[in-house]
Amino acid sequence: METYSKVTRFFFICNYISRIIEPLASRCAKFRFKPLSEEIMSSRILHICDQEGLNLDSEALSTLSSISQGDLRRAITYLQGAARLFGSSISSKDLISVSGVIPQEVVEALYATCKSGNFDLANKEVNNVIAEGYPVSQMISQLFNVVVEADDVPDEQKARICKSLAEADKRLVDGADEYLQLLDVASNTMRALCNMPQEFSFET
Amino acid sequence: MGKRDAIVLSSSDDDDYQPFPRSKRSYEKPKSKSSVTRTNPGRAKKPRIPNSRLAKQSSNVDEMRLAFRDFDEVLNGFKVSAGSRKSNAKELWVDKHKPCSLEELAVNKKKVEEVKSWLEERLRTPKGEIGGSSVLIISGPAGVGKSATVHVIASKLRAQLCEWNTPTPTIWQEHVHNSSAGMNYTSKLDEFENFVERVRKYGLIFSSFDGNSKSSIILVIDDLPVTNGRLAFERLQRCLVLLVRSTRVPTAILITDYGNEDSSDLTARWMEELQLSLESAGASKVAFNPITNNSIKKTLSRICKQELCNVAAEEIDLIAKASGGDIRHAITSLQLFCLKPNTELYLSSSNSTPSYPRENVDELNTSSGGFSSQYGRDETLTLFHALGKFLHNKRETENLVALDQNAFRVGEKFSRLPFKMDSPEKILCQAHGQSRPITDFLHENVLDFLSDEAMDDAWTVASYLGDADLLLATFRRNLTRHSETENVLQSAAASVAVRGVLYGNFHPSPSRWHAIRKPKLWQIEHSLSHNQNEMLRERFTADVGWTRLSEVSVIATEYRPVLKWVGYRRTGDVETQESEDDSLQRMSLDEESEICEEDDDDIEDW
Amino acid sequence: MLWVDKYRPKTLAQVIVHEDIAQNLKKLVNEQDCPHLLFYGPSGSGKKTLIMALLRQIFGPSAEKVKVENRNWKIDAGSRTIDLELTTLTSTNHVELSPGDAGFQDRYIVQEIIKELAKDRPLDTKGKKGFKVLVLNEVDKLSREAQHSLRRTMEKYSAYCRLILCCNSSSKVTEAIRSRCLNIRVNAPSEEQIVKVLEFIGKKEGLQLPSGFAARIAEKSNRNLRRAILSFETCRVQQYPFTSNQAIPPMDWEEYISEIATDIMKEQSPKRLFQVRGKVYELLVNCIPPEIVLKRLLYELLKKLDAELKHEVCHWAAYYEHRMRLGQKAIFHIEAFVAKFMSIYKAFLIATFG
Repeated sequence: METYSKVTRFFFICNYISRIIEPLASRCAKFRFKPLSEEIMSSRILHICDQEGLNLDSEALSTLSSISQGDLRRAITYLQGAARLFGSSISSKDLISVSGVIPQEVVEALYATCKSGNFDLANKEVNNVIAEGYPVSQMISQLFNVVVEADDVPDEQKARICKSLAEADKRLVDGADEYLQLLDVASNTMRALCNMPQEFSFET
Repeated sequence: MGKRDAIVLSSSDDDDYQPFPRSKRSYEKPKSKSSVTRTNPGRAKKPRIPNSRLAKQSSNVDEMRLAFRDFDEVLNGFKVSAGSRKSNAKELWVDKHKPCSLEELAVNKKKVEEVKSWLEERLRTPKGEIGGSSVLIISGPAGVGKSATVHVIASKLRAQLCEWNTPTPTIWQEHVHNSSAGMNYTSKLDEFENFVERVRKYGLIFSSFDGNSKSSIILVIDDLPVTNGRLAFERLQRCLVLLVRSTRVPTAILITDYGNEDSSDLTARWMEELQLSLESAGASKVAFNPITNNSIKKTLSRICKQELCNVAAEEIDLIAKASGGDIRHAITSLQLFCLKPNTELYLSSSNSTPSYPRENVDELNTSSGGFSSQYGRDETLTLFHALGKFLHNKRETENLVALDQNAFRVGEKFSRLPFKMDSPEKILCQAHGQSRPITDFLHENVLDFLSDEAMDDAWTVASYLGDADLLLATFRRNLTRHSETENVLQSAAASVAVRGVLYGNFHPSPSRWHAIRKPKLWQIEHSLSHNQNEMLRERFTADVGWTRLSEVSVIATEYRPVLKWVGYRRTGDVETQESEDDSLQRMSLDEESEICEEDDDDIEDW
Repeated sequence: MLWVDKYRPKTLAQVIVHEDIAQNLKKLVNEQDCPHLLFYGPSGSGKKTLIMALLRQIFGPSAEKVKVENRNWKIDAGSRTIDLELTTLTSTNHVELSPGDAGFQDRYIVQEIIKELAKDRPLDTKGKKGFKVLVLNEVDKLSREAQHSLRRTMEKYSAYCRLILCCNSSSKVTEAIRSRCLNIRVNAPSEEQIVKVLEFIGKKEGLQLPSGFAARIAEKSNRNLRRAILSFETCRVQQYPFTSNQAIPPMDWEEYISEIATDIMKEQSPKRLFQVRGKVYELLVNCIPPEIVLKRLLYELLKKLDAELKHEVCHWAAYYEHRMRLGQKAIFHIEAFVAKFMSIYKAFLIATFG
């Protein structure tokens, strides 16, 4: 890089600046791109809808921006997928089904059973999630959002839950079984929320 | 007798030197001289001088020269000092003090008797009248007196010995020379085959060369030719089996059990296979165990007395211990020890020479057995022996080692008494165990050794074995990457498995006799893959009419149970196949466990 | 022919269970450009059925004329050549295969075989539908490397062929592939839907169904339609006419696992652990996947446990299943789980009953 700096200018594109080594980063001027704001996204989306002759109501629009999390490309991909499957009139539900995002009610239902403190209930709900075919990794990340945003949970409990979420995520990446991992998460969450002992021991 | 001398000079040590034909010259001379004068070449085949290994292993030429200089010095010293004492100076003690009578033999009396009575019987009765073949296999580790036993017995019975020794391997230069001189190269295996053929057909002719028809003949095949590759091995096997079946001359085949030493796993397995096939052809077999410490000590003291050397009893004890049951090695060590007026000097000089890899490991443990690197015959253990050590988990009854102040103290629950054995890694190294089989064996057998109450222990052990499995799996995944990482991972895995078993087995079951089983896991895996393939193939069978690619798991868990009920399938097709397999496996398992049981006996002996 | 196959819907129009998905697929095909598709959902939910029906929708009846080919592939992988045997189902317009069958050599399968098939462009004189469809089963069983090379192959040959991927859990498919496909979630049919299907079959077969019988089968099937139909047929073979309280025969391996669970609950000792090992071997030899063994074992154990122990036990099941996935020999980890359970349960018994 230094040798050719007279004749060449480099442009690096990366997702995380922290993953670029320091010597390299220090030689560059940094431009940080934030996730696109909702207004920009929606204006662009509406523009596309207009060009393609799609019909998008306002609820669907806000759903789209929330599930794409500021990623315009993803938003457009979802839109195209939904348009192919469901035709020109697209509802918020269509978008969710295309994106692979789990409907919020399902996540909430699982969370609620965890709060109830009844293991069998949670087990049943976990079974249901699996049978519905929802991707568990997605479930975990959405559950994470729910837990982090919950106001009535003390930080320590949140930390305990997040730890189990992180573990489960790693195991899923390694190819572990979805049902068992989700059940483990549910059980850990339940124990945290209901202040049951985390470690179980009968040592005397 | 003249004929016998012609067959001379043999042996694996020569093979060892081969890679450095030129540079070895410096020490070859004294050695060859000494061997020429041997009266009985077969007996002194392998003078195991520890230093000679230095030469074999180190690749650096300079280092090697250094080593040879050292070696020369020793040998020179040997000549001078020995010469001043006795007229027959150039003889190695191993030859000089070879046993002349049955009493002098250090071998277990029972075994000697066994061999003797066998030979007597064959010699007494006219040929062909006794049932069974006239071939005896004597197996055992190197230096336990196999050949010596046969020789002594033969002389006692006044029988004539006719020996086959594997000829010296042809060196390339020699081959070039020979072929330019018009001599054709014959493979050693060919020579051996010819020899055996001759014996089979004209067995009686041998008696004629002596002219003395009264004396009987015993054929000794000492050391089978080295075979290279499966094909050659099969030839050898065929040829020997024929010999066993048809020969009428009482024949003793001496097979050196290398354990795992010096031979890759493969050849070791071939040797086993060979022995089995010979036995099934009717040969009898006597297995020699390593010689006990006491017998070695007795022999050594006797030699000391005869040689007028003053060697302290402790030294003899050390040498005997270090020899690992190899009497030839013990005597050589003793000789080496005696000819150095200043022992300390020699020891230090030998330490400064580059040490060979295996010893490196031993050096880690020099504190526990300081002598091992000086006299140490490279002790090898059989896999079963090592497993026995791990599984029996012998420990001191109390902790004698005082913890020093700064030592990290572990909780009562986690501390264990010190081992009553070498460190597990050392044992692993000696047993040359590969980590996968070791782990599998431990897994198969460990539960037998746990106390029935100790469920927690069982979990600890199972969990550690799981860890070992994880390490091994990582190793497999990275197979193509770095060979070094592989090695580290392998040994780490083995270490985790072994130490996990040792640590976890906190409440061992009361010591009793256990047979070590072969891991059932291996058969399971075998038949699993068989069944799986079967299933994959059958998923298109016309009468069921699946025209889809179903997953194996779906077939196994859903289709097959139902098909069993519904009976659509040509019933029992796969099933019978399986049950046949099962019975086959059960048979092989039984055989295996029998073998193991024998090995287990050995463990108890030790 | 088994009922499962006999009553499998052949066209999208015949589909009863996932009507909505079928409708959408129809729409998708009517527009000429078909994207890559990824079907995911639990076992027995009807993914393959939908795929077959979709193929028929695209190519007409010729899609059903498949022939089974057991082909040997020689793959040149740098320094060595790899011989692979793989079974494929081919019609004129599509090829179906399970790359996961190739085990750890799946990477080569994906790279080479798909490449070759994709290159082999169909000769269609009308110039219509000038693409071939590749159906890949069990994509989630592919290794990471294989998935990456699948992604590259997809991009490179997307002009000539369309991929239809099929898997159980989309978590195990990389984001890169998921984002390049239209994801179609096929959920397990609800029990009511299963009952509907069973009644449909019953009517076709001319059977009298006592009320509640189909519901009981559906309940036992764990929302797996294939299983429901299979056990329905088993019941038919076992006893007809049906009685409403007729026992529904369980799968033999499930019974076996329940036996194991009883063994474990009865005694906790290394000796018992050894016996359990023998039984688990038996299951493994019969090709029951280890994770299913573990899951079922957990299910059976949970049934018998007090609530306080359940958390602990399910945690360890998750823990050891993960390690099983990373490790090589499943038995080590299943056994570790059983040992852990025994150890916990024994401690529990001692604490409770002294």
